[in-house]
Formats: sequence, structure tokens, C-alpha cells
Amino acid sequence: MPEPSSSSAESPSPPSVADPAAAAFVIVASDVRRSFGRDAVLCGASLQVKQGELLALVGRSGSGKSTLLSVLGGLDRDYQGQVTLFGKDLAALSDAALSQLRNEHIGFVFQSFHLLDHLSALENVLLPNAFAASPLAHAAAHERAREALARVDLADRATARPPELSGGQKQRVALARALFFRPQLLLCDEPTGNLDVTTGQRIIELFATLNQREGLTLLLVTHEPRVAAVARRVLRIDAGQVVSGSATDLVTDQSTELAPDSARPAHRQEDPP
Amino acid sequence: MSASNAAFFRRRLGLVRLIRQNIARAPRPFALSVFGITLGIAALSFFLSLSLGMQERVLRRIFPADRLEVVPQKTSFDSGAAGALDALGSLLGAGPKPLDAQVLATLRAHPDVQTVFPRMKVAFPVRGWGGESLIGRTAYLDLPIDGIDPEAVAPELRQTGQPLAFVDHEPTSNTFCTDDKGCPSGQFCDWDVNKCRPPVPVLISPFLIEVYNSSIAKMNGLPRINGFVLGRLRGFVFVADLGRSFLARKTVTDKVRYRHMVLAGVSDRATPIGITVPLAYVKRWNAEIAGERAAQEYSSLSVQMKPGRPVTRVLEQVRKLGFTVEDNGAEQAGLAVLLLTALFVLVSLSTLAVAAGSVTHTFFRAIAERRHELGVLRAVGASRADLLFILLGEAAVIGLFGGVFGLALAWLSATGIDLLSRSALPDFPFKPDSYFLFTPSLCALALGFSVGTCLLGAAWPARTAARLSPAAALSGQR
Repeated sequence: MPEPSSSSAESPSPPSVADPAAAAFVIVASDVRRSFGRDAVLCGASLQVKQGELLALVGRSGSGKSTLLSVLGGLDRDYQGQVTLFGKDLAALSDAALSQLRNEHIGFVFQSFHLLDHLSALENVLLPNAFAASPLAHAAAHERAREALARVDLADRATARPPELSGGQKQRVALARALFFRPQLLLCDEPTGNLDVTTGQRIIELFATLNQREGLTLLLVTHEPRVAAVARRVLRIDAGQVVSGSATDLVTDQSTELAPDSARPAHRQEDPP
Repeated sequence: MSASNAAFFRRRLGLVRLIRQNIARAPRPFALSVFGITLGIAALSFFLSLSLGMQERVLRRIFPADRLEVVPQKTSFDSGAAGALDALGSLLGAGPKPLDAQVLATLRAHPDVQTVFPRMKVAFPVRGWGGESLIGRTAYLDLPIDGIDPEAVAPELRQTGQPLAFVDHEPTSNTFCTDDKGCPSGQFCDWDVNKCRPPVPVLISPFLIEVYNSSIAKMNGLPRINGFVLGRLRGFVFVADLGRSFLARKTVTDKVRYRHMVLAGVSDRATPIGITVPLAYVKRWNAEIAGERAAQEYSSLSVQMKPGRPVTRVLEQVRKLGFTVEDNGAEQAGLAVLLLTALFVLVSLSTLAVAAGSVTHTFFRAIAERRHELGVLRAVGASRADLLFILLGEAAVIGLFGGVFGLALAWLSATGIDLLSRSALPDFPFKPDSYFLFTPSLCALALGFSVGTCLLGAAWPARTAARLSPAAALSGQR
């Protein structure tokens, strides 16, 4: 996988070879705390994610999974504790450097897709290029974007706008956008939460392929056992802290808050025939 | 272009593309904001161009701002101590200080002064007559005459292409004659000395033509003088009886002179009421008819300032020398225009302030609606500076459109008023073709104001948007 460009002194770069311990971990979070008013959501959460790992973070609804993902991805800076990404302390990075890190090294996939409705699928995929420190030239960027769409089997929907796409197609466009700069880390927040079973399964398979074939590091926040099942390691977030877990933890949780896949409506956000 | 420059421009181009896409998807709020700015800029540029037009096309023609007319102290009409002193001085034979060659030299040496041209009035009455060939009968008129250095009007006459020479011919003419037939072509017989001489070249003021056109011509059913008629009038010869008065119906001196005169052209520097001839004629006539002293005292000194120099220091020097300047009302007229302009500009700026408030409101609303989108942009790598660039870029585009439309609206309104003035308003002295002047600097100022107002209006909402936490924007938290 080609290395994304990184030029400025403050810009994030992959860990140096001289620091093998740091090189082994893409994410190192220690004692992360985050509160919203009086509600403490994260109470000393710590975790480490190795390069090339496919990790699932599970937990009950409202347990702080998405909050932790936002902190780890540099989307939320109002935390206490230490978060190191590619060997860089996030708190020490300027807004510009952190933005560049998100732009070139991290891809995000969200439950509600977060596509811009006034742009076509291709234009949505091209968005990261507008904010890159060294954007690709027009033709190269378009070629890269089409390539990304082709990887998620949407080459023929490049000109369609999000309202014209099904849920699965939208999520695949979001994935193509996340993969535009061939990031090293993909952070996914309930990526199949709005999809029907079949479409969700295809997305999960795509994640597994990206991890196995391209060595992409994936952190999946989910409360779906079948998503957690593809992960090599499962962590559970409980009482604001990260503890070891397994996909079966979710089965236990389902008894109180989750419906099994089989019970979910098959018609929700399904692909068109 | 270096790789880093190319990357910089590609990045900016990418952001500009986003600005274009954002504007294209929500044309209505964009158009509403543009409309508000258009009204403000239209009002601002309309009044500024009116003020400029009035100053350049009307006031400057009537009251040239780079010239001073230095004159002796006026008679005091003060009924108190100042008036009493003036009367006493008069009784003791101490008239106003004369404007002589020494004063002329002093003012010419002033560092702010480009040149000084002396003027001298004839010190006796003059009766002019002629015009049979023009109006079918001989017309008589008392003629105030003053003399001016031909150098003072030479550039203007050259610039306006007036062919007849405005020079002193007298010393070169000595051919004896008893009537005009005995004289060479272009010369006339002056009967008092029986010599053939070229006629004295005469300049008249455009002010005099305006007064004639707007009152005399109308009252007497005579034709108006326009450029064409003026061309025909050039070369018109008449006779001046020096020392005779039509009003007094008597000869005031036993040294009457008869001189043929020819209309040589029109000049802003000609005396407003009367005729202007080369200075040397007036000096000679005053010396011959009114005595040597009359030939030494100038009636006024026309001071031409160096470009861009203020008149204040020269005014101070003039007052120190014991003279004053002709109060032509320029200061008051200029002040009146300035005050009116300031008032109208204030009204326009208030309109712009309201428009800026509207831009702020529109942007706050747009940002609330686009909160989620801003979060997405942040997630894919937009920095705070990028969001500021995008949002302020949208504001600048609104300003640019508002500025262009505002200028167009102002220009259309100005053109309409000019057309109305030409067709519906009666002629009056110095009635201009246009009351407005749209200069490149005015257009640049209007556009700058427009863009600046929008940037100012959008600055606060844009800053608020840029400071949004991406996570909060994506999750819809406040």
C-alpha cells in the first residue's frame, strides 16, 4: 500500500523504526476520561491497538463506545488522559496537524454514513482530497476516487447522489471515501447498524478482506455479535473502562437491549434488486 | 511552479470548488443575502458618484480648487471700530495696499505655487459696439475689460484647439491708414492714430456664455450659443471706444482711443463678466489714459497651485502681505456638498450595516443547518482554517455579487436621472450632461466595501462554526 504524503514538521507520520515498541501499536490510550456535564462516560479507559489488527469494541448502548472512538480518532479533544496515535500524542498536536492526521492516516465509517447529499458519490469520495496537504491533481484524484468506488462495487453509481442510493450503497460510498487516501487505520462506528442483514454481511466481509489482504488496522465499534465475530480480538467497555471481552458478551447484552439479527426487519436499508 | 506551490494552489482550488458547490445547492438564501448587500452598495455608490460628479463636473468648473485669486483688501462695511479705522485711513489717502510687481515676485517664490499670473483691469470706461452683420443692427454695450498674461491661457487654448492667437500685436503695426480698405488683410484702421493694426484678441468666459444662454438669449429671443455657433463667432470683429461709456452717455476722457477687437476664443480664465485681452494692451491703455500708477497696480493675481499642494500656506502668506482672496463661494459650496455626501454616505452605511446583520443571521442559520456537514468535513480532514476559508469564501462571493449588482443598479439609476434631467429640466448655468461620476477607484471602493461588509457579517458565525467540535457536530450535540 503506498504511503500517504506527509510533509510538514508537525505533520503526523508513522512511528519511527528506531522505536519498535511504538511501531507495534497504532493506538495507545491510557486512562482516558470524558464527561458530558456531570455524566462521566469514560472513566479511565485504556487500550492498545496493534498495526494490522482487527479489533472489535463492544458494549451496551450508552456505554461510551462511540465516545471512545471519537477520542481515538481525534474528533473529540475534550478528554483527560493520554492518547497516542502513530506514536504522536494527540493532545500535543495543533488543529492543523490533527486534521492532516485524520485526512491522510485515518478513515472513518459511521452508522449513519455521513455523506453530503448535494454531492455525487464520486464527489463525496473526493472530499478528503480537498483538505490534503498535498492534494492529488484533478485527473489522478478522479482516477483514485473511481478506483475506490470500484473496490466497493459502486463504479457504476459514481454520479448518483446519496438520496438516490440504498443504505448499503451509501455505506459503501462512505467506505470508499474513508479508503481514498489508503489510510493505515479505519475507525468504524456501528458500520452495519443501519443496514439489513445481507448488506451488513457484505460490509463485514469487505472489512475482513481489507484487514487480511491489505493489512489495514480496523477498530470496529459494534453491538452486533456477527460483526464482533470477524474480529481477532474483542474488547468490552464497561462502566467507562475497557476490559477484555468476547463476541459472546454481546449475546448476554442482547437479552436486555438488543434484538437478534434474525428479528431485525429484512427490508431496512436494503439494496435495490 | 514548485511542487509545494502546485499543491497549495490545488488545495485552494479544491476549497473554491466546495464553495461553488455550497452556493449552487442553496441559491435562495444566497440570493437574499446578495439582495441586501446590493441595496446597500447601490445607495453608497449612487451618493458617492453624485458627490464626485457634483465636485468634478459642476463645482470645479465654477470654483476651481487649485487656483486663488489674490485681491486687495475689501472696503470694510463694519459699523464699529474696524469701519471707523477704514474710513479714517481713506480720509488720509491710505487706500488698500496695491498689488504690484513686488507682491507678484513674492508669491511667485512661494514653494507651493506653480505660477502667478497678474490681471489688470482697465481704469476707465469702455464702450463696445458692432454686430450688424450678426443681428442686423449695431449693438452698444459697456465692456468691463481686464488683461491677463497670454501664457496663463496658452495651455488651455492649445488643448481646446482654438486657432486664433491670443497675443499682443500692437508694437508690430505701423502702416498709415484712413479707413479699413487701406489696410492689409486681417488688419483694421484705428482712426485715432490712423494706423493699421491687427484687432485686439479677446477671450470670453464660459460663465458669460451660460448667463447669455440661460437668460439674455431666452429673454430676447436670440439664438443660444453652443459649440457650433461659437465656432462661427470666432473671428467676430467689433469696435471698442476706450474712454467712453454707454451708460454715462458721455466721454469721460479727452484721450479716447478706438480699437478693433476680435473674438479669439473661450477660456475658464477669462473674466466672468466682460472681456479679457492680453495684459500688455491694458497696461499701455491704462498708462496712456489713466496715468502711470494705474499701469503699475494689478487688480488681482491669479495663483496656480502646484499639483496636490494645499492652499492653506499660500493663504496665510497672502494675509501676511495684507491682501485677501476672492471669496467665490467655493469653500461654502464644497462644504455643503461634503456635508450632504457625508449624510447620504451615513444612510448608505446604515443600510450596509443592516445588510451585514442579515448576512450574519443567514450564516448563523446556515451553519445550524449545516452543522452535520461541517462535522463530516472535519472528519475527513478539514482544519478550522479550512472551514473559515470555505465560509468566508462564501461570504466574499456574496459580497462580490452584491457589489457588482449594486454598482450596476447605481449606474442604471444615475443614467435614468441624467436622462430625466436632460429631457425634463430646463437649462441652467453649468447644467452638466451627467451629475454622476463613476471612477475606477469608486468602483473598487464599492466592491471592497461590499466584500468587506460580508466578511465582517460572516466572521462571527464562521468562527463559531470553525470552533465546533467535530464529534459534537456529527452527533448533533450542542
